Formats: sequence, C-alpha cells, structure tokens
Amino acid sequence: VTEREPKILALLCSECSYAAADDAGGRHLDCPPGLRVVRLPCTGRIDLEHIVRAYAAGADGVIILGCHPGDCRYRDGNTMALRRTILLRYTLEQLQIPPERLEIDWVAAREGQRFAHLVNAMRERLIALETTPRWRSSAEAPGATGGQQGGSKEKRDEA
Amino acid sequence: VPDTREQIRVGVFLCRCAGTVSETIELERLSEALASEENVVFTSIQELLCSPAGIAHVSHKLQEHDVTHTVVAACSPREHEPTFRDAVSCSGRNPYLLQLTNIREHCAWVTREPEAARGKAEALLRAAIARVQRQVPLKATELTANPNVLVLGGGLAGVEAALQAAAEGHGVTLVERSPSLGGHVARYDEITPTFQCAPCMFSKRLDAVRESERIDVLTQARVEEIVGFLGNFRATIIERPRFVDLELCIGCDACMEACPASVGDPFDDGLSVRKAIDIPFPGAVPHAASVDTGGCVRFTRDEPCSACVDACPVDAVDFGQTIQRRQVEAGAIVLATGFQSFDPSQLPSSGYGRLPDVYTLTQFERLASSTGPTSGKLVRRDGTIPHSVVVIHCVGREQLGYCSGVCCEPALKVGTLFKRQQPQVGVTYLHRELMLAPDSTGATKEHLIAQGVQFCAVAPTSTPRVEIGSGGRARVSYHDGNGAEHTLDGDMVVLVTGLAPDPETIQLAHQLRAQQHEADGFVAADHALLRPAQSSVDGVYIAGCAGGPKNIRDTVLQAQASVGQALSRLPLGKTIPLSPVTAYVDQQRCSRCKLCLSLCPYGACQRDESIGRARVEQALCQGCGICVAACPSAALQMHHFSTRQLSAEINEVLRD
Repeated sequence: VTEREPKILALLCSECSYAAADDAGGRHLDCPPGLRVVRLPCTGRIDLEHIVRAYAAGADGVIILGCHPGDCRYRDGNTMALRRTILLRYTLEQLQIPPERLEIDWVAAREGQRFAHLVNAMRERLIALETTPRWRSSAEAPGATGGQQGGSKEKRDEA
Repeated sequence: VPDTREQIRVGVFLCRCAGTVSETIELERLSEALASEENVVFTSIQELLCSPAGIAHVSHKLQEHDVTHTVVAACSPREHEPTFRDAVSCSGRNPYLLQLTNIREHCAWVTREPEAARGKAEALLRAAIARVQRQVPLKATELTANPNVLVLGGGLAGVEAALQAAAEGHGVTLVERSPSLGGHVARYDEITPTFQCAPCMFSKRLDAVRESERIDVLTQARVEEIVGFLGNFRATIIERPRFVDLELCIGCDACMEACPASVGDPFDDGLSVRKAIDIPFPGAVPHAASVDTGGCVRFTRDEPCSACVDACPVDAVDFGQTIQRRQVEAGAIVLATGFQSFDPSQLPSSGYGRLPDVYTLTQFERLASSTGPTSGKLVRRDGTIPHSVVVIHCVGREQLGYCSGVCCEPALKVGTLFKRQQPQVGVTYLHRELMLAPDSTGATKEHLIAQGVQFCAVAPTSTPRVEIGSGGRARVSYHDGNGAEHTLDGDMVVLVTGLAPDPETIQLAHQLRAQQHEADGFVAADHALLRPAQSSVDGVYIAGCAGGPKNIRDTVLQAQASVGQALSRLPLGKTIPLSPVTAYVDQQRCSRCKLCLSLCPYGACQRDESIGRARVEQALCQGCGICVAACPSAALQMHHFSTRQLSAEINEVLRD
C-alpha cells in the first residue's frame, strides 16, 4: 500500500464549527492538506446520503463537527446529527467500511486549536487504517448504484 | 448535470488578500487550471477584492462578461459574504447566485506546503463552480407586520412593558386574569431595599395605563389559543363576566355595602374577608366592582338576590353578562405572567395552616400594609403584639429544587418594620446562605444586628420544623452547621417561600412552543447572556418573573428590554424582511408521515389541513434543515442548501 494523503470531508455548521475552522486559520495552525470543508447551516441538515456519497466520491474519512451539546443555534440539530451518525456507523460496518472513517465531535467558535487537533487526529487514524479502503478497490463502492458523477469517476481513477 | 435552461456564464474571482493568500498559493497556476472548467467565462486575480477598487472591479467584470453566476475565492464567508452579495446585487444580479469559497483561513493559512495548498484551493474552487451553477435566484420576502403588542400579565412587568410600547406609539392589548391590574407588587406597602412607598410609585403607573389611549386592558381574561409568528400573532382571549358594566361603574361602594355575602379576600391572601361584590383595592385599574361567583349567593345558593343591582346608583350591575371571546392580533407577545409563591401548606413541618400565627412573607406584606387587615399594625391574629418573631428562610427550597435568589432581601423587611414599630419584639432569622445584593441600602443585615436582630445559620440540608408549643406559641427546632439541635419559641412565624412559575406561564410556554428551563419550568431566554429578554420563539419576549425569579428593579429592566427588542422588529410602517434560506415542501412527494412536525424546533413544519400534507410556514422557518435531512420521502427541500447543490459540492471537492 502506497502512502497517500487521506482525503477528509469536514461537514461544518455555519455557527460554531465553521467559525472554529476560521479560528484555526487565523492562528495559522497546520491542518491536513487533504481536508475539504463543506459548510452547512447546521449539522442537523446532514443527510446520511451525503456521507455515503462522500465515500463513493473519494473521501477516506468524514468528520462532522457541530456546536457543543446545549449550544446548538437551532436547539438540537447537533444531537440530531449524533443520532444519525450512530445509526450510519452500524450500516457502514455492514458495508465493511470501518466506522472509524466517520467521526462526530463538538467544537466551539473560538476553539481553533481543538478544531486543528480533531482533524489532525482523524488524519492520523486514517493513515493507520488502510489508506486505500478495501471497498474502493472492489466494485462494491457504496453509492455506486446512485450513478453519481464523482463516484464513478473515482472508481475509474482507482482502476 | 448543470442547468441548461439558459446560458450559464460563471465568473471566478481570486483574491491575493494583500499577499497573505498568494504567498502560499500560486494563484496564476490556479487560475489557468480553472479556466477550462465548464461554463467558466473568465478568471480574474485581484490584490484585495474587498477593497473599494476590488468591488468596482467585480462589478465591472460582471457587466463586461455578462456573467450569470459568480464565484469568489477569498476569505471566510462569515466575514465577506455580505460584501460580495451586495456587489453582485448592485450589478443587477441575484445575490444568491454567488458562492464564496474560503481559500484563506481554510487553505493558505493552514497548509504549509504550496503544492498541497494549491491542490486544496483548486478542489474548493471546482466545488464552488459546480455548486454555484445549481444555485437558484432567491428573493428575500417581506412580511407585513402588525405593530401592536400583546402583553400577557398585568403585574409590574406587564404594566411597564405596556407603557413602554404605548409610549413608542404602538397599540397594546394588556391581558390580566384577575379583576384588576397590579399583580404582586400592588400588595406591597414598602419595597426593599430602599423602603420606598410602593403604592406611591406603582399607582401612578396604573393610572398611566388607564389614561393611555393606546392600551386596551382586558381583565378577568385568559388566553384560549395563540397561533402565528413574529409580526402576525392571533390570540383568542376569553373574558369572564364581572357582572358589572365597566362603562357605567363609577367605583362607589354602594353595591358592597348592600351585598349580604362575604368571601376570603384574595388580595389579603385570606387574612380578611370582603364582600362578594367588591373593588379589589383602592386605586385598582379598572376602578370598578367585580362579582366573585365563589361567594355571591346567586351562584353559590342559586338565590335570586338583587341587593347590589338595587343599590347601584348607575345601574351598572348586570347579571346578564356572559363569557366573551375576543380575537386579538399583534406583531409581538410579551410574556409577563409572573410567578406563584411556593405553597407552604404542602409542607406540614412548616406549621402553615396548623398554627394561626404562621404567615407567609406575602401575608406579612399585607399585615404591614396600611390598607391591609390590621391597617399596618404588626399584631397576631388575636390582636396582641408578639414577643418574639421567627423568620424562616428557604421554605420549599428542597421541593422546588433551586434557590430563588430574590426572597432574602424582602425578608429583611420583617426585622426592619418590627424594629421601627415595636422595638422590644425579638426577631430571629433562621437562614441558609443569605442572598443579598451588594448595593442593598437601608435594611442591611448589619443594621438589623445592631438593633438586636439575631441571625442564625441553619445547616444547609436541614429544614426548621414548626410545632405547637406551650400556650399556643410556635416551637421551632433546627440544626446548625455543626449538627447541634436548637429550639426557640415564637409568637409569630414568617415563612420565606421560594418562587415557582405561575401555572399560566407554563401553559402559555407550551402553547407558544417556547423553551422552558428544565430545572424550574420558567420560560428560558433564547440566549441567557445575549438575548435575555427574548424567548426561543421569534416575536415572543419575556418580562419579569415569567422568566425566573427577579427583584423589582430587574423586573422593570427586563420589561423595558423586552419591549425594546420587540419594537426593534416591528418598526411602524415598515415590513419585516424574511430570509429566503428556508425549507419547503414538495407536496406531491409528502407521504403524510408527520415526522417533520415533531422534529421542527420552531413549529414551522405544519400540516396543511386542506390536503393533510406537510407545509412549511416561511415566517417561522429558521433554515436549519433538520427536517430536510429527516424527511424519508425527500419531500422536504431547502433553498440554498438543497441536496442537489450539496451533492455537487461534495462530489467536486473530493475529486482528485
């Protein structure tokens, strides 16, 4: 297995965690080169489908970061995301995707340090796992049935 | 697949950010790589896009290349999304056909290796280009707002809120459930910590309400139903009949003198009796009599008594009155429904209800009042002056589960008034931690100690017990901090009880879907520090003890703050802009599962009664997307964060 920089999709809410990512930038803290941020209004907006598609599109890991429990701008969007994540982890296991490839955690607007720590720690964990997920080398990529542009392209590239 | 309905022309702007981006990311190479992306008509690198020159450049390029969709790669959208939306808007384009991607904080500033930073920036930009082509023009809608304010609760907080709103020119409906405005404060004679005369201050405020042309006062009234949202609430108010015509009653006492029936006076907390037809207190607003159906023999014994009808010189008594339902429309609601004191009869060890001279602090207020049952003389029920008085703090502390934090200060009134009126009376305080404001003047604890008042600390877990001692006196036993037991006798016991939310507060919070504090049930602020007078429901504000125990000053402060907040959202003659970033329902796909109805924190997901499917009330939706992610039929979608837009962004940002 050749060492490849893992691609991490970070799904951030517009309130706390996106601000934390900005804070990490403001402090010039090193974050993984493979980190890709997508901004959402709230982690409660995250569709499980988005996550499954992300793996198909080439993500080695997905990290969901929300406001700390009790701090959600929309009351409990973050706990909604937590419940959905726990649910999805069971499914991932059945698809033979190690559940470590899906993380959820909380970070406040001023916690740039914590943000950098969380995404860097995820990178370490992904490197420790097989960098190229086993499922991607086979034809059984999740979401492949959806015929998504990115997913199919990814498979072509890998082949 | 991008939209092909019309020609999409994407313009891409890259910002060097005065070199802080370009020193890491080679923007020229980035620009070249992006030029061949589908539908991109140009890429442009600028030194500082957010500067006036940068903004002018954006406008110029948009016109020159007839751009339809704009991508800006610069800093955080939290900082400059409004700036570039304005720029796009000023160039005659829809501000929602813009995607701002953050190549500064999320890329140049956190990625040391230039190659890697450029790769990341390229991925972000490709994602933004793909996303923006799927964005649709959105328009901020405007809501015509009703400028009137509905104030629920006619105590100190409600009265202050009503006066404040009326002073700003807004119409007010003030709803009070009892026959007169005034609430708890109307019963006080002097107010701690300054010992100012309460009626002197408060009666003027009540008079101002009566005189105001903009305030409509509804008494003996309660809310049956409230629906709506900021700018457009509609409440159904039920008014119980008072059997006296408010227009005719002149506030004389002819009916009271004639009335044969007596009832316990709620204003004196049962310490005295009044007639079944009565004016609650001197200076009541409205200053009119009201019939207590719990005492009037026409209702209790079905007797055809007409003593008051015959006695009234203006024919104001009218037993033909019935319950009235009235629709009130308002743009904002102020919840000022107050508190209720913990009822010590729930606690047999308090002696309340078993011993005649065990009083609550509220009852003591009435004893001390010149309009009270003893005309202000501090005497026992048998009319004698007590030798010793015991004041017990924190009654109901365990049952309530929290410290109210505002009862200690008025409790000092007991010692102060006794020392003023009967200096020989021994006063002992049994307290836990004393919650006294640092700036309390007048009745400080030290001042009372100097006059011989005793302060005894009780173990935090022990509740003093009140039992019948010798000669009908109260025998109070308690444990001190060292666990030692003490007993003392008192001719009079005053119980300082904590504050609980009024049942009406809880009911209204449910009706309005306003969040309550888990621990105590008071209405929770939307943000305890930043929006302390606003509830979790837009357009519903909190004043006074409905939001938790407060002293008089804080009650007035919050009442004024709540109206300030409310009126800032209801400017007279203007509309309220609504964000277009909301959820909406494709009703053809809705399976009527109702999942969204229970998930929406704002009650925006509603059932469209005509077809039984879900709909989203745009004025209530805050745009979180919780319902969108949950909908099993994909019937719920969201403007500006649609599944289609997000999928395109995610796919592109992960592409190699």
